Formats: sequence, C-alpha cells, structure tokens
Amino acid sequence: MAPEFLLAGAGFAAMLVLIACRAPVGLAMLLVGAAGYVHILDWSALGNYLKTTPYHLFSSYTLSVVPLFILMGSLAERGGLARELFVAANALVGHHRGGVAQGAMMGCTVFGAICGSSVATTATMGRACLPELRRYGYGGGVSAGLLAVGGTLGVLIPPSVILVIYAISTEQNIVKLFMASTIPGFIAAGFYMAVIWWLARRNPAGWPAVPKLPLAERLRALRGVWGITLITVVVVAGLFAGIFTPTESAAVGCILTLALGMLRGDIRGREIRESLLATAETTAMIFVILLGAEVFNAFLALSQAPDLLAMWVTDNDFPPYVVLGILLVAYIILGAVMDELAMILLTLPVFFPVVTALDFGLTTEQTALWFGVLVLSVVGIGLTAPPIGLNVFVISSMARDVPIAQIYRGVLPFLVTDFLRLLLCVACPALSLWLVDVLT
Amino acid sequence: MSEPGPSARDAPAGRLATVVRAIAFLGGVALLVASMITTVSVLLRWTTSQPIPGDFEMIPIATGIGVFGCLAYGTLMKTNILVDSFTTWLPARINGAIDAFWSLVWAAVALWLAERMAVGTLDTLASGTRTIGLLALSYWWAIGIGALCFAATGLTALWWVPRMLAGRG
Repeated sequence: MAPEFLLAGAGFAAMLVLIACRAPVGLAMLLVGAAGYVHILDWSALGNYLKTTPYHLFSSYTLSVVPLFILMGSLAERGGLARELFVAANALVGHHRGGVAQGAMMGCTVFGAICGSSVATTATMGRACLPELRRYGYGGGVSAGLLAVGGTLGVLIPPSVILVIYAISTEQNIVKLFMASTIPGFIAAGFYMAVIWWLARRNPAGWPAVPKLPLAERLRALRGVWGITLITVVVVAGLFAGIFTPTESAAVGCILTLALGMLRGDIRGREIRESLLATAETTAMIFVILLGAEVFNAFLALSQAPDLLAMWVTDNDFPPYVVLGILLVAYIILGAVMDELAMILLTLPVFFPVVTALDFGLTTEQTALWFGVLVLSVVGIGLTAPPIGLNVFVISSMARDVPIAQIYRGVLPFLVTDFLRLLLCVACPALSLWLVDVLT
Repeated sequence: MSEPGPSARDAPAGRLATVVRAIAFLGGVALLVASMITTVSVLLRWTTSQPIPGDFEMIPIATGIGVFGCLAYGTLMKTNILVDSFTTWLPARINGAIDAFWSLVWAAVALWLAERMAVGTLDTLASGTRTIGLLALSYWWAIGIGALCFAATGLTALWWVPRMLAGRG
C-alpha cells in the first residue's frame, strides 16, 4: 500500500480511537491533524500555521453565514413565531383526522425555511406543539416521534447550516446547494404528511380531529402568520433571486426576526440575552469542530491521500453507483453513532474527491450538488434513527413521561420514507438539479 | 453522542462563569452589529446604489470576534461534541476522570493556541497587514481578541478539571 494511504489511514484510525475514548470530536481532529502536520513538515511549520489560521477561519466572509443563521433561528425560537404557525396550520387542517399532527408537520416545514438547525426546529416546534398534541389525545410516542422527525425539516429545507458547511468544505456555491435541496426537502415534508394520513386511516382513534373552526376564526389565525411569511419570503426569495448573498440573507433575516419580535412584544431584553447565549453555545460547538477539521484537512492535503484515493477509484473502473452506495451506507452507519456535523467534516475530504471523480453522466458541479443533497438526506436519517438520534434526545427532554423506545417507535414509519426518499434522490438526480437549472 | 450540556437552569455559577458569560454576550452583540451593518448596507444598495463603503471588510471582522467570544462559553456549557457510546458501561467516576483528562488536554491546546495567536498578533502588527478593500483596515487587534478568547477558553477548561474529577461535571 502507498505510504500516503498508510499515513492517512493511521491518522483516521488514531482519531477514531481518541473519539471512542471520549475525546471531544473537534479536539481529536485537531490533535491528530497537528501530529500528522508535524510528521510531514515540522513543529515550527505547525506553529507558524496556527498563528493566524483560527482568525482567518473564524472571520471568513463565507463562514460568517453560519453564526448569523444560528442567531436568526435562535431569535425566531423566542419570538413566538412557532406558536402562531401551529395555530394557523391547525386552523386549516386540524378538523381532519390526524389534522393536528398534519398542522404540526406543516409548522415544522415553514419553520424549517427560516431556521437552519434541526435541533432548534425540534426544540421550538416541540415546545409549541407537543402540549397541544397531547391535549387533543395524541399518544406520547406518536406526538414526540413526529416532532423529532419534523425537526429534521430544519436542515432538509433551506437554509441549512449543514449544507453551508458542506458547501464551504467542498467549495461549492451555497445558493445552488440551497436550490438543489429545495425539492427533496418538500418531498420529505410531503412524505411525512402522507405517513400521518396513512397512520390516521389505520388507527382513527389514535389520531383524533378537532372541531372545525368558523371561517372568520380560520382567517384570523392565518393573518397571524404574516410575520413569518414576510421573513421567509425575504430570506429565501432574496437568496434565490440573487438579491442577497447568503451572509446578507442571514443578516437581514436576523434583523427582521428581531424587529418583528420586538414590535409584537415577544422579544425583550431577556429574550435577546437568551438568544445571544444560545447562539454562543451552538456556534462554539460548530466552530471548535471546524477548527479541528481545518487542521486535520491540512494534514490530509499534505499527505495527498484523498487525491490518490480518487485516482485509484477512477483507474480501477469501479461501478459508480456501487461506490456511491458504499459511501452512503458508511454515512448511515456513522450517523448512527456520531454527530452528523462531525461526520461530514471528517469524511468529506476523502469521500468528496472520490465521488466527483466517478462518472455519473453529470458535470462535476452537478455531481457535487447532487451528492450534497444525498449527504443531507443521510444526515436527516442519522438525526432520528436509533440508537442515537439527536432530535429524539431533544424531544425526549420535553416529554419526560414518554419512554425513549416509544419515541423511536413513533419515528420508525417516517424513517421508512426517509430511506425511500434517499433512493429516489439517488435514482433521479434531476430532483436535485432541475431547480438549479431553472433558477440559474 | 453526548447529550446537550447543562441547561440554563443548572448553568455553572461563580466569577469565571460570569466573565465567560459576559464575553459570550459581547460576542453575540458583535454578531448583531454585523447583521445590522449588513442590513443597512443592503438597504442603501437598494435605495441609493451606494452600500456602506467597506462593509465586506467590517463584517468578517465583526463575525470573527463574535465567534471567538462564543468559544469559552461553549466550554463552560460543555457543548463540545463527544461520542460516549463506547464508554457508557464504565462507572460514572471513571467517565468523570476521562472527561477531566480531555478537559485538561483541551485547556493545554487552547492556551497554546492563545500563545500562537498572541505571536500572530505581534507579527501582523509589525508587518502592517490590512484588509484588502476600500477601508484597508488593520486587524491585528482582532487577532489579539482571538488570543484572549482562547486564553479564556483554556482557563474555563481548567476550571472544569477538578469538578469533573469530583463527579460534579
């Protein structure tokens, strides 16, 4: 085996050992990356590299979109927008069997369009919808399960922090990636609502309806969502129409959400302080991993292993879809035991050159966009799949009386459609690429 | 994967925690300022075709400072992601000792990064490096803020070590 592969392989093995020994993922990447860097170059090169690298990484204009989208989601979480969304959706469809659950899923879909984080979407929609679902007689496992799944729409529907990280790691256009993920994101929402409809048909008693509201009340409830509609239109349409850069869209979204929240009296000093601190927690978590990935990727680039691996895969003429299948299965397995952000930062330096070197009958950019959507789909699966689904943990912390096994049971029917959607996206790249072609 | 860190209810208290929380708050304010500059610039671009001059130079500095401000708070709230799937069978005391060890390593790394960035600050000051653009802003001071924030992160990680060893992590 080439020494480059041995070195990179040893690096990966060392990192996985550290991670298995409870080392924080970002720290493990940083330590192994630094050791590899010193092995290939020397200590003084590493010392020089680290003098300004953290600053240039953290103050990169492209990356600045990440904390700003987190801040926007955090402000939206405290601005009462989720509650109004649920009330409006419930007023529209709540009188159908399973309608309250459909309303919660519709709320998650719209909230996903202003929030780029699945955890924030789960937490926000969970707080707004879980007590209502329980009040109307929905089972604990069913309610918590559907909200854990609905929370993944926070990343599946653009804007999505995970997709921004993918775009930056693979040097792709963020806006095009958002466009590529739009149709698969709405397919996910459609599938989830179809599952609710099917479950409600099978077990009508478990999925009750609420009395139909008079037309005037329904219209009043709909009027309540003008704020979130305005933010969504400005952020998403502005981005897709090329009026804003992603950073500008996130910044304008932050200020709009803050202004609306203050105007309606939902956001005051305390909520601003809480939003800033919650943003600090998530931002720190992401950027420590990004710093670790930066150093680890520098080591991998110096080892030249990713490029050589891509060449080896191309030279051996492996069937592209078999290689893609292996990579996606690897992602599903990894996603079951580790954090999804860490997973993609860890694997992209190796997986991405391999995938873009394969011939799927697409251009390199199209392959990159399509693979981004596929990665996002497996991330969604990892967020809810047993044994470790972060969204399930988040919702479980709010539904303490519901055993976690029951929540996983509630998640399972939705998870089947996640795999179905993944297969659809693999078989039909046009689902990801059509909108990009139309809008650019 | 580790579950989320301590919630706001059981957030660490004390002088260091107060300082770290204040730094994070100021970091968040820097993010809000970046958002405000961007929004005003976008509005001016629409209405007068004249955005704020040098907005593309100011925003990265503000967001960079904002992110640095978050680091110590992340460590205080233990938001660093770790995979605990392989160690759940161990007694809590042993896991506490392992966490204390990694916290010590993180402290050493963060303090080393602080030292490196302090050197980077002086180098940038000496070379007179500035942003590329209309304003040509000098940014050595922002690297210096980064160094201070890494130092605060290292001290916060050290603060956790005895508490984790005592099973209070």
